[in-house]
Amino acid sequence: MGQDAQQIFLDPAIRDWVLIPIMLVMVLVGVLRHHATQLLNSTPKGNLKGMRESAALLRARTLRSPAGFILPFPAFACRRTYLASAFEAGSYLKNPQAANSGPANPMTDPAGMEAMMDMMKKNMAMIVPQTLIMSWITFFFSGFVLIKLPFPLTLRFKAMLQRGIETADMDVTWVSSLSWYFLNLFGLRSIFTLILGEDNAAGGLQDMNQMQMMGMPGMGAQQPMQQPGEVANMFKSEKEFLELAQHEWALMGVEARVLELYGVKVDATEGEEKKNV
Amino acid sequence: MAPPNFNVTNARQKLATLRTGTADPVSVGAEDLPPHYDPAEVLSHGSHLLKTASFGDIERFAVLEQVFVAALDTGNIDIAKTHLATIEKRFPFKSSVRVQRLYGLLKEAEGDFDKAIEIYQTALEQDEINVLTHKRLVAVLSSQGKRTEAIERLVTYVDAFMQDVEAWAELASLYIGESMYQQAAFCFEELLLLRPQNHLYHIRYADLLYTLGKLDLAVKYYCSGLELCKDNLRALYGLRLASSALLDQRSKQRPSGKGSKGTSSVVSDNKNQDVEPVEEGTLVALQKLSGDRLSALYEKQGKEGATLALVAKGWLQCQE
Repeated sequence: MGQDAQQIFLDPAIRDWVLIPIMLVMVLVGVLRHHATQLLNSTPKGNLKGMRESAALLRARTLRSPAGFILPFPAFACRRTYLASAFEAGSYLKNPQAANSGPANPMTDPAGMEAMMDMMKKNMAMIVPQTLIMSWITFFFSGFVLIKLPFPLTLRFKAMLQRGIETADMDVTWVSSLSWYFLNLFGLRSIFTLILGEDNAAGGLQDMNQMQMMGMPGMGAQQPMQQPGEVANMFKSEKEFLELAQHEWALMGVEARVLELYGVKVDATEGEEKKNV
Repeated sequence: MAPPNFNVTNARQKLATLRTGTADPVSVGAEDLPPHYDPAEVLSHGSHLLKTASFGDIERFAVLEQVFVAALDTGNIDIAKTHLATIEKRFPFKSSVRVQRLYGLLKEAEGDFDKAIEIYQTALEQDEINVLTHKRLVAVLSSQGKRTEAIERLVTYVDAFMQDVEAWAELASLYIGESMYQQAAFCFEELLLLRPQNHLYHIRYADLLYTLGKLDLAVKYYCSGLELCKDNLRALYGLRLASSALLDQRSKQRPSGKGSKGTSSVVSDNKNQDVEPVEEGTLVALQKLSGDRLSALYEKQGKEGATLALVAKGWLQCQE
């Protein structure tokens, strides 16, 4: 397995016509992809009703938090009653009729539809060029050995570096064409940031991350795939919380506290006498 | 060529903080207040920066927008127009709501309010949650003096954006302009909910309560304002006025019968049975305290405050 045992001489033409072109094509496709996604990208359209829905929930939460204790009791009580009845009636819901129709189909929600469309566009922009390049490489260059890595590696890297070459004996440091493609696919990211700046859409990896994020509920304001029934339930429980909320007025005895702050002593029963002094 | 005391990094930094600076006084500490916005300075420094410094794309357009607004603020409409043209080349009018808003600003600066409103409205059709455009629309209406229309718009706005402190404050001041104090008080209650630590909202809420004749509550809120910000002048003045008025009111009611300090009638007058009336002795102490603190504070000013101290003393004596 020594170095001497495997003297493979690579034709310089392989370097000029396979190695460099593959990398060049991948870079160019990445740049193209970046610009294409920018064209395809529709700015996420916010939805006034959706905003209102989450704002109402937040408002109820603030009301029953200690911040609510600042308000005088009538103001607190009127807000509590109003919000509780509004939540009961579902008047802050994005689409009230969907609340009781059970688990709704996400396809019916136009906003969800749009988000899905967006996701699909992005995925297409990622999948189509990559499949094309991969089939191009397997069609023309399958079985090519492109480079030799200048450092030794253990056998486990064989599957990674010599994809498409089914020889058990070849040294691991030789890299096949298909593996070169994969190395590029994952390794070009920093080059893209260099050319296109941060937040580029050239590499495929961010999209995968995004896809994973989509599935998770409760990701902040942007919840493209939220079930309407779920929100209705949140409103219901919030209403119960509101009805349980107690009001301990924060200003109870504030005047005494202020007097204490200034070091003035006052005896409530002798107020009349103090006036005369 | 460069404006006096110009330093590239400093200027860049300052413009950046101005861009991100918040209008909310509580979220920034007293020490690191955002720099004072001086449109002339932003215009001169910004234009120079645009000519000399090398920006990334994002920062360059942000500075362009900032200089555009500063140019409008200083009345340099021609400069503004050239900047807007540069921005528009990159972000076409049709697709960018932000550029549409800038156009609206330009029209406003030219005095063509109707056109501006039209632009904002079409922009909102494209993007109905564009906060800045909503606010511009309200601002145009109120600067035209159409206060009721502005209120109408703002009410629909806060119905969706209930956490917007700025909007509630603006709505309150619009209501005050219309003498609708009850409604303004409601807005201040929202502000108290959103920013419970801001003494300014406590004090202004107390002002409104005083105006509405809810003296007991007003005294309480002036006190809480004082508690959050010791020696706040406005709170002291307010406390003085409110406690004097309250004492006055009670002494007027007393002659009818000495029973129970006349509190029951006071309470029913104020229509807030849930508020425990402030005790008479405490009130007297508060009245005295606020007066003492006021004159002490003015005396502490030394020579500069001498006249003010005199005026304040005169006022305090008038009260008694």
